[in-house]
Amino acid sequence: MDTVILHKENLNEFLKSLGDIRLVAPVAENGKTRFEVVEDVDKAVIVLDDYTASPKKVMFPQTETLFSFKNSGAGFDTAAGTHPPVTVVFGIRPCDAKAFTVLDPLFSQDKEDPYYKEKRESTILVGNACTEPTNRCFCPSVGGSPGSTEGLDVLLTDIGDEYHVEIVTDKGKELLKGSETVLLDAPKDKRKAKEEVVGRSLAKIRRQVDLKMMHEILPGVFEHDMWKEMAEKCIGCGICTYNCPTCHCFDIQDEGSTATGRRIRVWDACMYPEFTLHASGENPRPDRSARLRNRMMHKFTYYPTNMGHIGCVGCGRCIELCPVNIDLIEILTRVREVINE
Amino acid sequence: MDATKPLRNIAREILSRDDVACLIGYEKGSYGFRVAPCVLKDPDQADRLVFSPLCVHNLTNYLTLENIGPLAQKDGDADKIAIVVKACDSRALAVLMAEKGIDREKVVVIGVCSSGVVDLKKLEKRFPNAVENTEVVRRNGAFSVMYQGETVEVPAEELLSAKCMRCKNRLPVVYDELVGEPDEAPGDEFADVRESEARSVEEKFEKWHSELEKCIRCYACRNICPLCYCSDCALDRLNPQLIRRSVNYQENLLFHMTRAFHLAGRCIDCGECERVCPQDIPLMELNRKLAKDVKELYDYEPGVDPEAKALFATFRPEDPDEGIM
Amino acid sequence: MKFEPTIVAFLCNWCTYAGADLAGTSRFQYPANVRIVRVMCSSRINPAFIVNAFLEGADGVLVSGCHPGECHYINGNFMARRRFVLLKRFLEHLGIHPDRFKMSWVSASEAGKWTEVVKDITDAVKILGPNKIKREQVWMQQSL
Repeated sequence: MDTVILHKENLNEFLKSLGDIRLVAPVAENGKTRFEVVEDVDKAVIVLDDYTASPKKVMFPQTETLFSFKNSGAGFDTAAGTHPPVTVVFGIRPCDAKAFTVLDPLFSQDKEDPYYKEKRESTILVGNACTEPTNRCFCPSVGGSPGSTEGLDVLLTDIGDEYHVEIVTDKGKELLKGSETVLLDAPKDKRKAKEEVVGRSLAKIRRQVDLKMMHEILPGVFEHDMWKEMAEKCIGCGICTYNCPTCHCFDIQDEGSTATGRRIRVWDACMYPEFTLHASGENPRPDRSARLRNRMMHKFTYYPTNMGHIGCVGCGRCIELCPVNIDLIEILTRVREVINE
Repeated sequence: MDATKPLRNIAREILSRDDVACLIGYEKGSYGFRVAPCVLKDPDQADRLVFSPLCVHNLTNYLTLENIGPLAQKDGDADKIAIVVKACDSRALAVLMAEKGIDREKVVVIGVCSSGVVDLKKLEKRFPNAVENTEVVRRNGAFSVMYQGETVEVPAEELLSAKCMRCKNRLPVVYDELVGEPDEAPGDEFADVRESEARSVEEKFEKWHSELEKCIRCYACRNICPLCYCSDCALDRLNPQLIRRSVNYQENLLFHMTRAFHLAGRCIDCGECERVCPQDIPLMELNRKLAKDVKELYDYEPGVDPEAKALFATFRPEDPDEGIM
Repeated sequence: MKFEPTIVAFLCNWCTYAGADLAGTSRFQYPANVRIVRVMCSSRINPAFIVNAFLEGADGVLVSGCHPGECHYINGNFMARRRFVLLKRFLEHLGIHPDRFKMSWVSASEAGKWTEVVKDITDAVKILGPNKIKREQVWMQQSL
């Protein structure tokens, strides 16, 4: 792959050189960092050192119009949901980019999801390697790395006064065609600089979990009491699910009236008690231990078995944000203990 | 004063009783400064318990949560639940008892006098990325924070949770056992509410518009609240539907307004909703505005009397007619 | 075109609704902006109805019942009074102008007062303009 150099002071110029394209980047807004559309590069406060924002909503919005309808008197007229413009997501972390790779097989099974597919194809991902992993990160345990290019079209790594820029895919190459003035040839020593930066980042990641054969081990503890113990503190909210870059469950609802309205897809969470509640009143996952067990098994057994990827990218948001310290590293470590007993 | 040892002794005794099924307390968390709620069943588990300024959770939430609550827990004749509470947490017990949400006879309350808990976000910002070998202890006017092999003294007011800096009472309002002695509480003048009341209507609108746009409707605030325990919550019912499932400012406004109003005269200012919010929305401002108005208009304060009648179930003929034509 | 606000009014059957009816039969003139929802007692009104009315597009909301002490169900209006005095303060805290939500006591014979109440809220809301919290019935939203 091609490697070039971008001087830090040229960052804004670089972003503007991407052309007439919708730019989404992590911006500071009211005390939080969020991925939002950037209208004016010079006015926006783009934040590259706060890794909390999740760009999942770019491909999979929390509320998405599937179609709108209007009662014409002789039936219903429908209009399809809006089509997103070509978009570049800038400042996405390697774990979050990998998450889209993990989600791709799900949304392209025998009946492809046109909403996801359209966004996925018209979005270019320009990543930012992690120089400051936090205490929640554990991407190496799931085969990731703070400098991984998996799922990215372009990857920037901060190597001091410059960004080391790797052009990973043809899509990335196409995107950077207009940026020739700010993208300079990379001398040999700069190419090596990225490896050093990534090495330092890896050393900062202090939490890990042994996932060897986990997808086979988990079914073995399905009936064990450990789930009851682990789930006793769970409050059944949606924090882990909504902040997880690979969680994808959704609900479909209609809004409006019989005269006019729309059908929407909205995020849902398997941790909610009503998630599997049947109309009959029967609930196959009636308690929190069943739901927590399902969440773990979905990420580490069912998804790998059905889709070929571990359903976790090691971002650690669920661990950091859980109000009651439910920690998947602790849970999976306990699973292994139980099996070894 | 370190409450951990006396707490463990009391817990060991209580867990040996025939009529107690389990004990809900705090234990060391999985990493960094985290502390986690725990449910203990046997006396020899008592040494797992801790008590420190990191014990931020309001454990009374679990009394009305499925599978643990006194109504659900049964272990032969053992059907009582023991619970560790700070003064603020105990106020939730008082409201639950007054509402008949829990049966006083079914709960064994271990009250602990705390001088305040830390604001975890402030702590983790000041001492970031801690993984192991951490501790926070209160020594008079400061916190001793053990971090990366060193112990740092930090003035208490720099790390204390905002709610502790306006604490009304450090003695639990209901308890069967008591650990420690209460120190003087600073008292609450609703200074923060008065400040926000002084802003113009337009400023208030802008503020809450930008805050409520951030909400992702994870329902953590509702689920962590000990006083939100309706089995069929009005906020996510589909039949009849009040709040749409789409997530945007208008629906979020309806959600938070309705929830805050359902807590009017019931919210005891434990601040858990604000602590757990992943979007850092200052939810307590809503509840405290209502609490201040409830006190001013109706001289009512929830959580002090376990036999009080509910705010909206009572009235006085001379209640104010403020703004009524 | 001048702004004509929509005022939703929740009226108790026994007092204010009857008073409004009397205003009608007496041919009193008052702004036609008001849309009346009849309830049996002011205490039937859930605070969520008020907020929902705003979300559905009401620019102003009025709640009116019997004078305290005259409630057909003895004490319903006392309960309602607590709720709505508190709600009005709370709405303002969230940025909804206090002139948009009003409460009144209008008895079955006070047709004159009814017209005054309606004029009062309609004039006040006309100045404020359309409400900013209505649900955007925009179905084709490009969301991120």
